[in-house]
Amino acid sequence: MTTLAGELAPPRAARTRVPTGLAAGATMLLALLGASALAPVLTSYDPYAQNLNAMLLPPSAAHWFGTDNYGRDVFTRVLYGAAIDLRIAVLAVVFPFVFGAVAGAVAGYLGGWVDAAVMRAVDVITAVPFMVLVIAIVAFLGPGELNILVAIGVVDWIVFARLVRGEVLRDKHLEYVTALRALGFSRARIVLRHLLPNALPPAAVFLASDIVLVILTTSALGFLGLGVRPPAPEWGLMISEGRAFIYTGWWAAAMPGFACMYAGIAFILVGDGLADLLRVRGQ
Amino acid sequence: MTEPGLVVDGLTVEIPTSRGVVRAVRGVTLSVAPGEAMALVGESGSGKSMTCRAIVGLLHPPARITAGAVRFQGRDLAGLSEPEFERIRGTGIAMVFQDPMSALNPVLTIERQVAEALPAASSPPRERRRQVVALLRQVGIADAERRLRAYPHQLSGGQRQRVMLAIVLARRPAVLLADEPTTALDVTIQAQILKELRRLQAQLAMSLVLVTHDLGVVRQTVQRVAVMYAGQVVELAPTAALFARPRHPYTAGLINSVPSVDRRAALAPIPGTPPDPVGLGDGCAFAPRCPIASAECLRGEIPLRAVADGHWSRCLKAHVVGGARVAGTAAQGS
Amino acid sequence: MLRYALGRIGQTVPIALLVTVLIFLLIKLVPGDPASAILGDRATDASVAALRHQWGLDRPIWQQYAVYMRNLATGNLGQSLRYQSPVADMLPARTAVTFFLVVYSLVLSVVIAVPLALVAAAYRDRWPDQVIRASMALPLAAPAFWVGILLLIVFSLKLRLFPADGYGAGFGDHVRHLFLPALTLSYAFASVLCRNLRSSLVDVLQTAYVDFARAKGLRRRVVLFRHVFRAALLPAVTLIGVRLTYAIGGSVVIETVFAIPGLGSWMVDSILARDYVVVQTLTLMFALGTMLINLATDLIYPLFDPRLRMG
Repeated sequence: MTTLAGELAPPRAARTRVPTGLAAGATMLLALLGASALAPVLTSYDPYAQNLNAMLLPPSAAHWFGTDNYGRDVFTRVLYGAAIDLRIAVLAVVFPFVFGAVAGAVAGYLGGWVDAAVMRAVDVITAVPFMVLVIAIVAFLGPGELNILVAIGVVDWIVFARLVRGEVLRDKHLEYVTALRALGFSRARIVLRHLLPNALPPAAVFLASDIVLVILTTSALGFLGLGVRPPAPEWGLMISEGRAFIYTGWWAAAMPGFACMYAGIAFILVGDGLADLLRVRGQ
Repeated sequence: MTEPGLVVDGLTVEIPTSRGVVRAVRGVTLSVAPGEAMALVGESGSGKSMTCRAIVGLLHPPARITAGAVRFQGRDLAGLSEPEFERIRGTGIAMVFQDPMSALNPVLTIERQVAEALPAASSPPRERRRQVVALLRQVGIADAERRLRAYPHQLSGGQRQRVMLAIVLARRPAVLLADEPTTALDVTIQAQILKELRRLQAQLAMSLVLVTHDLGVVRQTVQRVAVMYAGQVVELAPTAALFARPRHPYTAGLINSVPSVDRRAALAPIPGTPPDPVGLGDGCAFAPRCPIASAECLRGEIPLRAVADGHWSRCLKAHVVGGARVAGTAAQGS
Repeated sequence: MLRYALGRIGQTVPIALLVTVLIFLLIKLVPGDPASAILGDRATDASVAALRHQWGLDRPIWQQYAVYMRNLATGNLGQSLRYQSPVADMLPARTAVTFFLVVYSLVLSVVIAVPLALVAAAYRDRWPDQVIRASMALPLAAPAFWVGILLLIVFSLKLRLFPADGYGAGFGDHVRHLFLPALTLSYAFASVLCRNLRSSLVDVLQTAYVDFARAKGLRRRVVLFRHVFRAALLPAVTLIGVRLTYAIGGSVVIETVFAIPGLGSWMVDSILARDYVVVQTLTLMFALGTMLINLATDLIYPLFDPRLRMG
């Protein structure tokens, strides 16, 4: 009877948060993207033009986030930077998601040496800490946006492979799969058209938190001087440049970080919201 | 001590849910005298476990008592603070659970779990160990010394239930609530554990409330039976009277659906399913499944009324039940 | 138990070998010729050829790997071009610093997360729980190096409570110097640990054995510490292993923020100086460390959980 209570009374938070969390996250993201796209209209400042008469001005009505050591408006640069950081974040997860999902589905369904090979690759990449491997790959490839995408692509697919493989392993002995095989459908069709789509929702939920990870990684690379090159207004790079001036103008380093956190929270809310939706639908 | 034993008076437990408030226990009134054994019988979901949990103050939020009282030796338990309740639990009222696997802590040894139930007055470790061994022997665990350092998963289901009984024995409670203590066990083990439970009850002269859905168990073990349906007690009677002549169609249906050796009747399960616990109305909750229900059964609250000495029924047609046979089922009997 | 341990170690060895292959291949990622990339534009053809020969770049790739492995096996971890000294010479001191930092951050995480998780679980779904959960979700979205800089601004520049950088000398000095970096590293872990511990506490609080422990009449304190805590902490042990490896990854960035002379800042310096051999060796060291931690966690866990203790 306790289970009865449990079933009938899902945590109150979960029930009400489903729409609000997801909606809030999505709104935050749209607002950021919109502001970034409309940046030339929203601010009259140029993200690159230096103004040596306005160096390290504190936040004010004229400069909401203050100015940096070159007199550039930090708010403007944060808005323009959103385009860079979000672009990288979204592009960087496309390959890992697609490749990881397919590799995981195929490995899980076929088993045998294919599975062994995929899982060994997963084990090897897992053995090196995510950040260390990404940094190492970028170190050898050289800095730049494309190389960031490559490095994350090489390392990040394993999460999706593992996730989808687990789902497929669970589903492949279900009645409907047996039925499909009895009907003579090809293995490729069963995996790609039936098993994979069923395994995708959990992977899609994870995608949101993975994007957060990529944003943090991109900005860390920018901070270390291994990412996007200056003078691009990439958030991590801005924090790195502002760091030298924290004695005289903390805002130059602090503000881009808040932007990063804002984007991260938005994606986390979207991810949690999707997960809740999925769980509700699953019941 | 105006009232000895345990008295449950109009107990109501509600669970707020997304679909509305579930009234899991609806005005249950019971009393258990010292040394008496009674049973709470009903299908799962009828509110019997929830009643027990409410009595020992172990309801899981959001379930909570919204009306009624639980009095133990004249003292109302419903308003007690947690520290006060802790002094009642174990030695006053104890409870054992259905699944001994999940009711014993998987990461603590058997010795530890039995020893911590011994009276707090600390005796030296060696003495405590001796006591634990003695307790385990008393409940029929043969190689008690060797079992001291075992963990629950290393014991069989029957042995685990015996460990639970050893813990009860260490506590010597005045009242024991046993929530389906044998359901998770094999039939042969069930009989042993029940025997052990009866022995324990006699030895400690404690009151026993046995929660079960198994009428066979009831017959051998208790003096009185309360039958629950949809959160209410629908019939309350001495065991013999209940089996001789049930006075509620639900009880009659339950008895008919039990296979037995001495009755060659075809098994007749009760048709229909228990009602949705959300939004139960006033009338008889069993009416939709009842072979003798009529329109008046759905009109207003039906009280629990005495139909014979110590025999109570919550049925408007209690006089028809049993005597005139329950349509369709008893007709094939005898 | 012994068979389990040997089996688990047996699984690790081939992975470790494959990891060396992966890391060996990393240097092939360098666009063009690594030797000329390192020596720069002013290098003479002769010096490039000499370096290529020294590294065996003029030989087939499998021979290069064989040489690489032979060097590793004999403890030759390569030569730092920047410092003109063997990597192996600098490794112990640097490793000690990073080890101190990572363990320190682990301790801080536990100190932060455990009480918060307890409070959150005790006040489940009420406001203290909501506040703790919300504030513990924030760190997951914030870049660690940025949090480090904020802590620096507040505690070091404004309040002057802690030194801004370096490692100091002696244990007490280390503790003081590494407090902010360790705190920075720990908050993400504390957040995950707190979330997990809370949910496993909530799970355990609902188990029948906790009900039974209470039905026995045990005091709430006893139930909480003996029955609940023990069972709920177990899953956290594996988590600690997983998060340690995250902390190792995070240390690369954090050591740079606080100018701490550990492996991470060494790696970043070496990358910027194109000291490829050092980068390669340090990547390997990080990987081996991670594998050792994961192995240790898997070997230790059964000792804590009697359910997994076999025979």
